[in-house]
Amino acid sequence: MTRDYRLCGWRVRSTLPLPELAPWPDDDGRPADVAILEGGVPAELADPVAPGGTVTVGRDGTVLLRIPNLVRLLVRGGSEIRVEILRRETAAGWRLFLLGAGLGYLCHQRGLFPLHAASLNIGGRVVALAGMSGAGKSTLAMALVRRGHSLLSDDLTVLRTAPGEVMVLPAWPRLKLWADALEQFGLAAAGLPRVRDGMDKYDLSPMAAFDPAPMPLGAVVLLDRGSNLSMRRLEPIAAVPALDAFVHRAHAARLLGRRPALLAQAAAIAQSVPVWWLNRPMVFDLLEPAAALTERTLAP
Amino acid sequence: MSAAGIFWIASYPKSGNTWVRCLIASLLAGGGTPDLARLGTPTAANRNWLERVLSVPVEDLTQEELTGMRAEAHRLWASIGSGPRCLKVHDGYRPDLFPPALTAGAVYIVRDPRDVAPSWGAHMTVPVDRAIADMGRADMVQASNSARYQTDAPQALGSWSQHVLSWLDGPRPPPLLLRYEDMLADPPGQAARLAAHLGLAADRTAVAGAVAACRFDRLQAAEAAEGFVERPDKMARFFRQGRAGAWRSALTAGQAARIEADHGGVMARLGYLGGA
Repeated sequence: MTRDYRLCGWRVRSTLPLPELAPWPDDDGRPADVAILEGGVPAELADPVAPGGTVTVGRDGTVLLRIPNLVRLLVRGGSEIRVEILRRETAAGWRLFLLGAGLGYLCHQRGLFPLHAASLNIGGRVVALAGMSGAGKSTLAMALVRRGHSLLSDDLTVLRTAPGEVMVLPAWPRLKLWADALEQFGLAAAGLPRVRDGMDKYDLSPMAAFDPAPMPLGAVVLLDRGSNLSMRRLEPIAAVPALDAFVHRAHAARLLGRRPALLAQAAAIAQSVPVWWLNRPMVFDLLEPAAALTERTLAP
Repeated sequence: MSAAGIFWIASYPKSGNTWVRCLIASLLAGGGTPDLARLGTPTAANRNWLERVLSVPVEDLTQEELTGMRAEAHRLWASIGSGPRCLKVHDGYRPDLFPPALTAGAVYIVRDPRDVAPSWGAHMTVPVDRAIADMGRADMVQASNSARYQTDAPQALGSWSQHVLSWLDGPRPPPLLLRYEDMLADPPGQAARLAAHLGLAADRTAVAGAVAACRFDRLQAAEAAEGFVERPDKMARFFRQGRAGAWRSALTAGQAARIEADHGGVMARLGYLGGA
């Protein structure tokens, strides 16, 4: 049995249930853009561009991801993801990789710019919060959600660049928060699903309504640690390498030969929207001030 | 650096590893000022480094899965580009994690455990007695807490004595041994040994420049001016004291005696007990 979902504006047809995604509204006759199929995935690619490991890229642009004893993904042509589930946890661990890394590879194959960022609608302006793993994207996003802004995506913000315009293709609304962050927000972990078995990180589906329609990007905020809380706007020329450093799944993108295209897209983004550095000490006491500063600086 | 492979820059935590990494960065720059934000000797267990090398979403991996991928990251990193490079390591020596086939050499930095204990306690924001107990634990693993985000993958340290012995008696050829106390007493001599071991073409001017650029007060000033990304958030500053023998006032007689009882054998071998 297959189900149709809406992801980044695409019609996704899946043989696996994907409860995180919104269902496709109704049968309007549009053919599926992306197929997600449960089935066998080979342990190796026949023709890799470089010796493979956890991630292997083939000469035809196929990407193979292997998470030992959990899941294998084969992502092809920007339109198909084959999934072999090696082990089912209580948590839906395999779906994290399908809807995270798998979606990132798919974006690269489709020529999009996947930014390692959460995104929110702040007073009508779409803001991407980019950062490395552990930079506090989700925690700051949660603080902003609690100030009344709506979430568009958690870890991956899919951008489509066109002359004079950068569009955000909303993925799905979900925040993954560690137990210590939940506690700071006065939320109980009890009853929330864990993102992985054995990990004190929880899956939070924010309550506000989710609008899946593509929207123009309004600003990018790059998160970094710093001794003092501050925001600083980057010149476009400085924003290009900064944005490039936050490309999601950049190593795979390099192996796919996307470096020049990504730099051109980073330049298009830097010319279209303001890019800011947000520096902050990573302590919870400064979370609310950081959210307030972001809001004050970026609200239209 | 001429031969291919990885130099493991290894130590127990709080023993001078960052100082040595600064010296390497400066020696490579001909004795110039190292950039604390880009030291060039990545931390082997660091999740962001692992994410870059492996191109996998580290935030969704369990600590066990990440641990299982570290050897692959070492293999991939050794295969990218050419020439040798340095990785910072706090794990005890394990041939499966640091395979001889990928190894160009190793540097092991050691510091009097009586000075490590107060520094480690301040770094981890725990009482000195807890630090001393941790240094005696054979099952000591750094960054093993799964209740919050960890900057690093778990690293099995073992006890302080086990850590020292694993590195001094494990890899063949044995590592270059740098004693923190010798680095304080004779910085140019020790920096020259380091340069020679890594195969760096560093003349006396470069060595003198590196020693001056990496003096403790200079690193402290750089941290005060620009911050240091490796500073734990709860700690006021990373470069704290940088002295040898501070334990005489920082530890009680009982605390010093306990460290000596736990690690006396290895301390004697390294010249840390009377008369050496």
